[in-house]
Order: sequence, then C-alpha cells, then structure tokens
Amino acid sequence: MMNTFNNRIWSFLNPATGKTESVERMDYEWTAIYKDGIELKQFDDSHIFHQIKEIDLYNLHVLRLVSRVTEKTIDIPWSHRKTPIYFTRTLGLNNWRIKIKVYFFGYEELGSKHISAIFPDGNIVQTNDPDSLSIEVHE
Amino acid sequence: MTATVEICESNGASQVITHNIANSNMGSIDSVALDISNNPVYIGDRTYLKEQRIHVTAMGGSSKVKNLRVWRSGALGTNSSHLTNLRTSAYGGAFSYITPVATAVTGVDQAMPSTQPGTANLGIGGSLTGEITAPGYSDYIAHQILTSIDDVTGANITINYSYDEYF
Repeated sequence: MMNTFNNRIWSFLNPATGKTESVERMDYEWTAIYKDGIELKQFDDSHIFHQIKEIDLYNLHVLRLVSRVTEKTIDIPWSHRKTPIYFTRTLGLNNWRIKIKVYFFGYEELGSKHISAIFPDGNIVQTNDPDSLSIEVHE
Repeated sequence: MTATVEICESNGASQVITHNIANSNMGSIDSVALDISNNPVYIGDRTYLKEQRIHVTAMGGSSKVKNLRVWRSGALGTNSSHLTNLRTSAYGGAFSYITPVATAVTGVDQAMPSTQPGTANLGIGGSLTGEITAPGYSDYIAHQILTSIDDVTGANITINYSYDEYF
C-alpha cells in the first residue's frame, strides 16, 4: 500500500478555527513523557500535530525538547506546580529577507520563569525574561 | 515551518493591498516597491506615507501570534527623521488607513526605533497585548521619512520585524 503521507507534513485540526492545518516539522520538538511511560509527541507517529496545551500535566513525568538535527535533549522533571513555556521568536530582518528563529522552552513555577533560549547556532542561554535577550545577526 | 507570515502594503484611496512586498522603498509617489531613482524626495520634503501590516496567512499549528516589534536598521540622512505610529506604551489604538499623503499625518509622530524594542510596539486589534489566533492582520505600521535640507545624499535603510508564536 502506498504511503499517502508527505513525510514532512503533519496535520492539525485547529479547535479555534475548526479547520485542518498542515504543519511542517520544526528544528526542536517537545515530547511529553507520562508517569506510566506513555509518550505524547508534538509531531506524533500518526502524522498528527499536537499543541502543548493537549498535554495532561497532572500525569506528566518529564517534558523533553529534542533537537531534530543533533538529537540533543533538554529534560524538565515535572511537578504539579509547573506550567510549560514553549514558543518561538521569529526575526524577519533586512526587509523580511533574512529570517531566524529562536526557541524558548521551560516552565513557570510559583511566579518564576525558567527558560532556555535556543539560538539557531545551537547556543543555549538561560533566562527568566525572554524580552531581555538581545538577538543580533551579522550578515 | 509554522505560521506563514508576510508583510503587506496598502496603497491608494481604495486601499489596494499588495501581499508579500519586496521592499519598503519610500519616495515621492504612493506606490509599493517604488523605484527610488525615478521618484526621489526633494530635500526638506516628506516621503509618501507607507501603511503596512504583518499578515498571518496560515496558522500552521500555532495557537497564537503576538508580541509584534518593528524597527529600522541603517542611518538616516543628516537631520532627517523616520516617523511612525509605533510605540511601546500609550499605544493609541489601531491606526486607521488613510489615502497615503506626503504631508504630516496625525499620530505618525514617533521616532522609528533603530534597535529592536524591548517589548511590542505594533498592536493587534488595537492593543499591544493583542493576539492573532486565526489568519489575519496586525494593526497598520504607518511611517514616513521627513528629510532635511541638510540631507543631500539620502539614506539606505531596511525594516526589521519580530513576532512570537505559541504552539
């Protein structure tokens, strides 16, 4: 049987719009590892894309970010007081000709943020204030 | 690949939208991606107002796009000013489209930042804390150059943009 999936495209039924969206793989993707060992991947093996709010935080054991390029991981041992933080910041420079993406991955606990900022070169900076980071690009 | 985002410009009385613009060239006519050699600004005059928006054409799995920031790279000509409606506080709501003019425009009176602002300076739905949760537009980025009689060489500047995307 022919595989009808495009290997780069996952699908997502957006509850906000009721429409199915196509989602391409990202450089860094999360995996939720539950207490019973079951995993929920952002891009799952059935080619379904998941948003982070789908994670059952009550039964979460570890929240993991995996680099698709280097396979390096960042693990956050979970506790019920934590809420996940995961977003990207895209810079469109030089009249939108140059685009770079920085990943932010971490958690907030008791009002304090703990975030890893992951730059395109793989450099990781720890921060509690993503807006305080200066992102410079040298052409 | 996540949300699909482009910069759009509106021109003319009928607000003709050009998607995915090539540049923000500013000059003596109201036109997108204008030829600056053929449409120079006389020293001491203003360029025609540019009215541009960030446009999310597909969410691509994102739950929201927010925290929009716009700034300039490159030095202006001597004593010239790059004016805009963008600001990080006391945001006056969404700029309402007008037919572009080469005169002073109410609300377009802030200096365009020359470094990345520390917080959002472009709103969504009239608010700096607004969010795009389905394909749609930001508020307008309105900006123009006020040249000076001291500026005899012009300037080569570029516009930069930044947005946050949640999944």
